[in-house]
Amino acid sequence: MSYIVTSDMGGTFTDVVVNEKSGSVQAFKALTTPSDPTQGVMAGIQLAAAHYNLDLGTFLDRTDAFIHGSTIATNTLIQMNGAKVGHLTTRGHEASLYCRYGAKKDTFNLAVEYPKPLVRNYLIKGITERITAEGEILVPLDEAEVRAAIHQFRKWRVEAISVCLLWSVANPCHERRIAEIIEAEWPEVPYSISSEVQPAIREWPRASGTVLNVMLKPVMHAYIQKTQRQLQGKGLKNDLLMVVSSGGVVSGADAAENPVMTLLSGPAMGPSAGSVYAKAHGTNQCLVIDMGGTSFDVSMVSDGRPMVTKDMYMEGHPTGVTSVEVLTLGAGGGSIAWVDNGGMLNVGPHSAGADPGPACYRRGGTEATVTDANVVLGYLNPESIADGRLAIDAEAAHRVILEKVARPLRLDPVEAANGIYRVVNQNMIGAMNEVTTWRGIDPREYLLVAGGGAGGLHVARLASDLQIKRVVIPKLAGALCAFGMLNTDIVFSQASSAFTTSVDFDFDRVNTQLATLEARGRKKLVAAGIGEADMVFEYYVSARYLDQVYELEVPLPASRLSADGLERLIAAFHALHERRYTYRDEDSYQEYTDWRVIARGLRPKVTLREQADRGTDATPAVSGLRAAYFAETAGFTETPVYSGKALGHGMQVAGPAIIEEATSTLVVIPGASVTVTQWGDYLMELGDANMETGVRRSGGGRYS
Amino acid sequence: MYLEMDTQEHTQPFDPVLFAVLRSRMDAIASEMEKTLLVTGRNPIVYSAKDFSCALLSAEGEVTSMVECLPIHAVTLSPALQAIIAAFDDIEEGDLFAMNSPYHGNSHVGDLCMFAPCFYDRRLICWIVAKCHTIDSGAYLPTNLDPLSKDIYEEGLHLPPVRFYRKYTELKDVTGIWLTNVRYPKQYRGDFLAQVGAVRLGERRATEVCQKYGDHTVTRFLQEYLDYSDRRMTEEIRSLPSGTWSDEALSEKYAGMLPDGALLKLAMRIDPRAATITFDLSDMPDQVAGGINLSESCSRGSCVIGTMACLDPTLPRNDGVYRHIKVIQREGSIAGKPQWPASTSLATVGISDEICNLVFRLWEQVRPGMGHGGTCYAPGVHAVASGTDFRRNHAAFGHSYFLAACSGGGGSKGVDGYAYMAANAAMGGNHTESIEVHELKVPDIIWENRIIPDSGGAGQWRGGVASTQLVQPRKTQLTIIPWGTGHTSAPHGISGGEPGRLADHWIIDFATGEKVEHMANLGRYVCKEDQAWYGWRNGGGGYGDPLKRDPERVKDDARDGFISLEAARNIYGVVLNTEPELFAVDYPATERLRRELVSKRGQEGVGS
Repeated sequence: MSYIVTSDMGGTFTDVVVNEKSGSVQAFKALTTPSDPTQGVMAGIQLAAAHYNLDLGTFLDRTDAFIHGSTIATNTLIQMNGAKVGHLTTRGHEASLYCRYGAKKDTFNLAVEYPKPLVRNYLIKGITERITAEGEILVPLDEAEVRAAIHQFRKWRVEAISVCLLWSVANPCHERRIAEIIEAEWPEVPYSISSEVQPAIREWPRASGTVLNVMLKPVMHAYIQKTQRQLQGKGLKNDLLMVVSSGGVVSGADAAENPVMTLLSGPAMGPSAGSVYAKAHGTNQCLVIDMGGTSFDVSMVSDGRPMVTKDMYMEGHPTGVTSVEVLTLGAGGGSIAWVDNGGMLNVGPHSAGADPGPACYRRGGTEATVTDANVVLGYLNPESIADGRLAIDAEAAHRVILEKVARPLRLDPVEAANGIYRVVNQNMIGAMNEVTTWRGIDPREYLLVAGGGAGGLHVARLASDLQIKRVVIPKLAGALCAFGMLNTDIVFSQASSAFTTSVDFDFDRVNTQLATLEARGRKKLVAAGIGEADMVFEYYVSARYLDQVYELEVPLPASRLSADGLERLIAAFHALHERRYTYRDEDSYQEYTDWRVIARGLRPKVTLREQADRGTDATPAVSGLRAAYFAETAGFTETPVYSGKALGHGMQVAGPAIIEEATSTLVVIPGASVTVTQWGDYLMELGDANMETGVRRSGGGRYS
Repeated sequence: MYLEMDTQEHTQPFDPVLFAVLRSRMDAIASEMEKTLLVTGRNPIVYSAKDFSCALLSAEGEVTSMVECLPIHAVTLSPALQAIIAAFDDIEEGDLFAMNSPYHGNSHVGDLCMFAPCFYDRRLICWIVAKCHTIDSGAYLPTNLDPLSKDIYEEGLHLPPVRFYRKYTELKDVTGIWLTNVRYPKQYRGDFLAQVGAVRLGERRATEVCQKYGDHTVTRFLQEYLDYSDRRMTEEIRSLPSGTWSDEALSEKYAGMLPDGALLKLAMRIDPRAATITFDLSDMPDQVAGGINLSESCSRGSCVIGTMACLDPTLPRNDGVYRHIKVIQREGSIAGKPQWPASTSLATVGISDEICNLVFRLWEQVRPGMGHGGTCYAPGVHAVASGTDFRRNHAAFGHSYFLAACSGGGGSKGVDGYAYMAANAAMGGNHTESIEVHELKVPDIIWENRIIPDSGGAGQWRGGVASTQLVQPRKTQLTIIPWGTGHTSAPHGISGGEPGRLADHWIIDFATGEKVEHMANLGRYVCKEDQAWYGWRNGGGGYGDPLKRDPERVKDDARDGFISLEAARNIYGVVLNTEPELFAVDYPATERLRRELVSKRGQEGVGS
């Protein structure tokens, strides 16, 4: 027997998922160990090995691939404890990292702290040189200044150097020369130049991404090396694969060299996980949500491709890395409900977190949270959750909701709890609308995949509001991202800038660029041991109408463009623009700025074992009855509770019902029904229900 | 399809949960419109300066949802819509109205408003608006921000309320009037489409909400939202002291128009019981023959936004709140109700920003800690400039230079001034341009955009820093029409803080760096190819005594070049040991120096 093992290191837990050759998939949870994160990973693997009755060495020896995602890069950025960076830029523009794009949020509020820049001003040195928008050298590089700056940095104990010059996307010669000088003057220092890290127009995001990259290098290099050494020391044969923001994986060595790619780790796997279920259910369109204790993530797969963005920000800093687009909202089980002095009910963005957590956890929490509301509504087990490991104090939940929400709103506590439930649902619906309808995408055509410990409690209402008909709640909902890692390719994204337009399209230049990018990607794939048969290339361009400055990324109709291909590209952009922004402008020509080639090395995908059909009757799995609140039944109704462990392939559960799993709970609303799939997951189908989340169906006062 | 409209009868209280749900739905519509307009705009005034606002208004024309707006637009939408409602008695689904006339409630001629009614089941539910600064308005000079324009005939084409679309079809005979008068029609057409697109998007979304929740529920919600906002503001004003406060300031001086400046006198009365705040602009000076007069809605706006910036920042931004602020305006005054046909070309900035700063000072009198140091003004380097582009067959271009509009905001109690505030009209809501995107679009080289040491007014909470701008045209000459403020009138310091730095600009000889011509806050200048245009922006005013500033902050500021070493010592009284390059505060010496400076200050006080 051999295994594919993945591990997703989050803030609280490190998930480990194991896929056996036979097709079985198992998840394990270990506590994250922030002081030495490798320990948490090893602990998770220990659990897995024990499950298969193997010692660690044997288990790792039988592990064909080990894929890892970690929040180390993100945490390093949040805590700003990466390398001390010295930054070189074009003279006169030393303030560009500080200035950002302006655009203060919350305009009327003047007492807002200015965002802290990535590099303090005194560590930024302007260099005499200048290149024009057309790539001509207007002022030659002053090499003496470069040397002086490097020596100054060295004296100041700078630990890494980033370089971002204006228009290095049009002509990188000055940046390259600076790289040579750094290597000659101070060979040990890690450095990054923007034309290599992110050759895209716009100096601030490019500089920001370059700084982030070099700032993370020493930390990530050390972490990856240590984890890989430990794993290999215990018996792992192959190199570690690391998750990157684009939704793929790269070798540990590549990730250590370009750590800015790893800023979005776990959540980047949402689409990979979703794709498994989408494919299983015969579609290539899915929305993936993941709701945990503090946050709610939404991502999407359209036409089989994950939705990506070129403008991924982390902690307010643009990364410049083309990434899976994940919209994150401060909505989770721990989100706090509060009423303002005008009588408005709000939920979040503040969270009670894991400590003290919701009031019902008996850890001293005094705020009314979403989890407390779920207890009052009867959705969560009022005695204990997590297989009995966490005791629940239902009275405490009632008490805080009464005090914090019901009294100020003059509602009864149940109506108040339902209010919290509806408002947090609405916040999540807003986020789901933002990634779909705001872009001209109709969510009704999508399969919804719901993960996270709290996803199952809310997903039925989210789906019915968006009129989504089918929802998959994976058996491994609690480890969705680690599961997604089983379904990834090796992905290298190569981009370059070459400005041209639809009226004077420079075929030679564009096709040369595409060929260069493709060759670069191929080289990386070869280095990663991918054979020619497993290589797939995808081609994109960032396009816009004349005079626009924000581009849309359009897939190219072919790997090289001819007159016919250009025609098809033009049509594709018109269609995309209209879908996304309501109109097309045929009078205007199109501008093309950045070209991108994704080199994909296909990896074996997750294999799922089919279970035997156990018939539709689910009654043997009923573990009891509980009063749960449903608007459709105008209040509490005795609701059957099913034990997830006892459910098997083919069994059907009609709403209203509750299914309790070890780490999650699924609420099946009236009118919805759930079938256990051949892979053991839950497929929920919704009827024509089209209600706002949990509103009463008819008349009556607001007080019940 | 399930509708719950009938559950929300007028006789019973509105479900507070549904209320929260609908607020979030309706606010999201305004946000989605804003986002769409930002990314589809074709000119920097849209995609970079973000000089536009999107909102929803009730059927009666009161603003309900307005999320990330430009502050100065906040109270200029409702009066404009009232003019449209008054002008047409045949409003129907598919209409789209436009107007830019400040004599019909609009802010100023540069802002084109597009309003569409949103109908459901043949009943008017609400209005959707996008107000957007256009690149040109067809004036005799290539700008719609012309301080020297003497009357409306010089400032550009005034559109009263007109219908641009009927039954979703463009009325080309009407739009043609507008599109023919705007310079660079090709360059502008994309902005026009983007603005129409945003309005139609809002209309579509509002209709979807009606479909889902019932149109009567939506109508009732809009009323409830205004009532809720009204309650929040009532609570806020009830917590304030009762009384009357007044202050005055000398305005910016404009050669040839207001050579000695104007004395801006402002009084404010708070009546907590009636829950009203009343501003009296009666003593404002007379209007002038130039573009700096405020329109009626902007003079009110300056008082409203100055107040909003001093009250609870979580108050809703809609007319339920604003209706508590009364403004007494005098006809024929520079900041009141202008007498037709006076020009109000710059009504959204200049005097309006200055009154707003005056409002901050009044609030500091009401309760220390409520006010702010003065916000920077839009300086002369924010000019409209034009020329030709050698890279595009020498096509003419016009450009509004908002480039890194990095001028400082005032300090507030507990927080240093924001370094990117643009002016009170925007309060940081403008976006700045990427230098590369700018140079791709405009044939010039931006040589410099640097932070100016000591530009932020000193204070316990320092004013935001300002930056320079050095621009050289490429193979063209730039005709520059500045519309600046803050060249003679500095953003004030407050409660012991010092004023922010004045703005200025010059034409320089590029090769030698010598100043060739001093440029005023307004006028008309030409910058040739071998010359460059160099300028400084305003820093924000400081809050509180600089001698009380945390020495560690002074150290960091000095090291990062936000303040000079001299200022650290002489103004902040901090002695820094700069021997090790990492700097360190010499605390005993600092204490001694600060004591010395305080006692010296006392002696000066006695002597004067």
